[in-house]
Amino acid sequence: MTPHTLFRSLALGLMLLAPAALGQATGDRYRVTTSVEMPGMNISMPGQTNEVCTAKNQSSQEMVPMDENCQLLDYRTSGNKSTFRMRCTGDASMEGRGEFERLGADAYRGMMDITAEGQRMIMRFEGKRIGDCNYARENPLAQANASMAQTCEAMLGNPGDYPYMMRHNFLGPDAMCASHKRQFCARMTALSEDIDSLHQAHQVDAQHRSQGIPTSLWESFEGCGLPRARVVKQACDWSETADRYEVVADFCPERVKQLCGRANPIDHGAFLARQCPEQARAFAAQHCARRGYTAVGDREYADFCNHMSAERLRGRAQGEPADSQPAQPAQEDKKKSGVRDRLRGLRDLLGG
Amino acid sequence: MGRRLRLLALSLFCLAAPAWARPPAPTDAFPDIARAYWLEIDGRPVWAGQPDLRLPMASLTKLMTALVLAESADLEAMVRIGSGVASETGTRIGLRPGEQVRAGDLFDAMLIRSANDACRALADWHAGDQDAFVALMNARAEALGLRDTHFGDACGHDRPDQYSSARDLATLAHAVLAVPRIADTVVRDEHRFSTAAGRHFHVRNTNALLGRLKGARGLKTGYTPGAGRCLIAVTERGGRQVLLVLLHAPDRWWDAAGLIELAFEEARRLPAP
Repeated sequence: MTPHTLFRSLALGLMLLAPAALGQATGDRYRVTTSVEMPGMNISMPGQTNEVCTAKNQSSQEMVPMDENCQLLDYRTSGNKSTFRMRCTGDASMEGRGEFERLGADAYRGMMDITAEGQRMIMRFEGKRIGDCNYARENPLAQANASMAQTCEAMLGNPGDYPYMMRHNFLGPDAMCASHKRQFCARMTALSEDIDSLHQAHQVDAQHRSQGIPTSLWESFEGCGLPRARVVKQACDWSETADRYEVVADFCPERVKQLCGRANPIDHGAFLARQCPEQARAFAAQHCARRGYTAVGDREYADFCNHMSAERLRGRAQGEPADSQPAQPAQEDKKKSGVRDRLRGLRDLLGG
Repeated sequence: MGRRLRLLALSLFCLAAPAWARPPAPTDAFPDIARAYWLEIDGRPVWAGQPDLRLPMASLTKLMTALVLAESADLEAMVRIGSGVASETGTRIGLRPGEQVRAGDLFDAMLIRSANDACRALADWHAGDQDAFVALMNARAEALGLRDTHFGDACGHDRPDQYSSARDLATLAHAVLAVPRIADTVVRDEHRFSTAAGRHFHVRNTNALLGRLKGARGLKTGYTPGAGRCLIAVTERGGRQVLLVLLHAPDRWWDAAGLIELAFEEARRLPAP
């Protein structure tokens, strides 16, 4: 089951909290707790509690999910308890059964057991009336609008998120946050101008593509009127000027050969080690190879030598023969024993 | 309306996600670098080999020694060096019985230079003798939930009952990094101090990564014949943190430096925490 389908299914359940009857001036405020479990996927969501305003004197049948593509079957009430079956067709096709029970005048509980695309999902809910509310102002549609705006802003506002991962929520006529396209594109523009963030986004995007995970960095730029070619060229020009050759290599591999000719181990250690094996070997032989780590004389070369060690490890991990790997640095010197240690002999030699 | 409700559902789903979206287990991508190793990026284990294997950990032990002292000792107090230091072997700074030294200076020498005589002097001073101090260390290890760790010596000498695992040492590393007195010490290149009588000491950090690896922030080195070359390294760059534990790593400096560079490369492909 895809997340989208899951969301659709959950949405139907959440309609319990959002009955469609509009127009009454006052309502009942309920505190509603919902929990969802998906037995087949071993997924269980923790209980969520919301306060909702429902129309006064709403019948239990009105509180059953009623998407335009759904119909109720066999709605039966016995005492305080109702049972029903539900069938939805179209994009969110599913079948299920449910129960609804009134617990006196100010509380209710129920459950829905739904199957969609072969995936079973059980949603349980409980409502407790906690006071009055103004239904006209606080009706579920108004709450949904406010909540949607809040969610869209949260998706844009979290600096740890990549907005392009949620492109479908912001771009296109059916996007859930179409009203926030301007803010989304402002984030994309800022991303195109922040070389470190763009570089990271590019690497995540490339990794996801290689793993078959849906991603849309460049489609997001295009959707915001930023052609890929322009973003890439700008990134490469800036990176080259800033001596960030390793970034240039990721965005513009066609420039690598030329840059290898100009790179030096002090300013472009990571780039040389990774992209220019021939030149790197020569520099490594001079500055890193057959030296103990602390014996790398000039610390200016330490960064380059560290990256050469990284390439050596990468080669070993990938099973490359030793002679194809970057030059091997010397191992750490044998620890020398002090006179006292050697005399005592029976105890270990311990130090850094 | 349906679209809006889907978004509400999305919110609910996102709130619930941490309960079941667990990170993948670490992979043993570099099996030949050490008998056991553990590498985390921003607290998420990414690569590990034999992470629960019990091995001697040499002077990495001193991180627990430091944790116990930082949490319960007065490091401004003066310590009279006892006769126990005379029996210490390995790396020493040459303390003499009867000298008086500020506890904080011994503490710094223990962490920066891995000085066994400073370590032993502190253990004897704080708990009365080494056995009593080791009991404090084991109690603290239990409180941290270190299931594969036991101390028999306060300073890290090889003993059959002196062992830990790469995973436990990563947990210990996080605990000590949360103590500013320790975190601020392990990153220093050197320390100078004097005894009450005016004898001067100048100790340099045993951690070769400091000053040679961008963003290196410590943490502790170790070596004994039984433990081999050990290292806990913490490196921070641009708000990302890599923590590496190596136990019995023949080429620890070059391999640590290379592994940490690869980890930061990997970090760029992972979302920030």
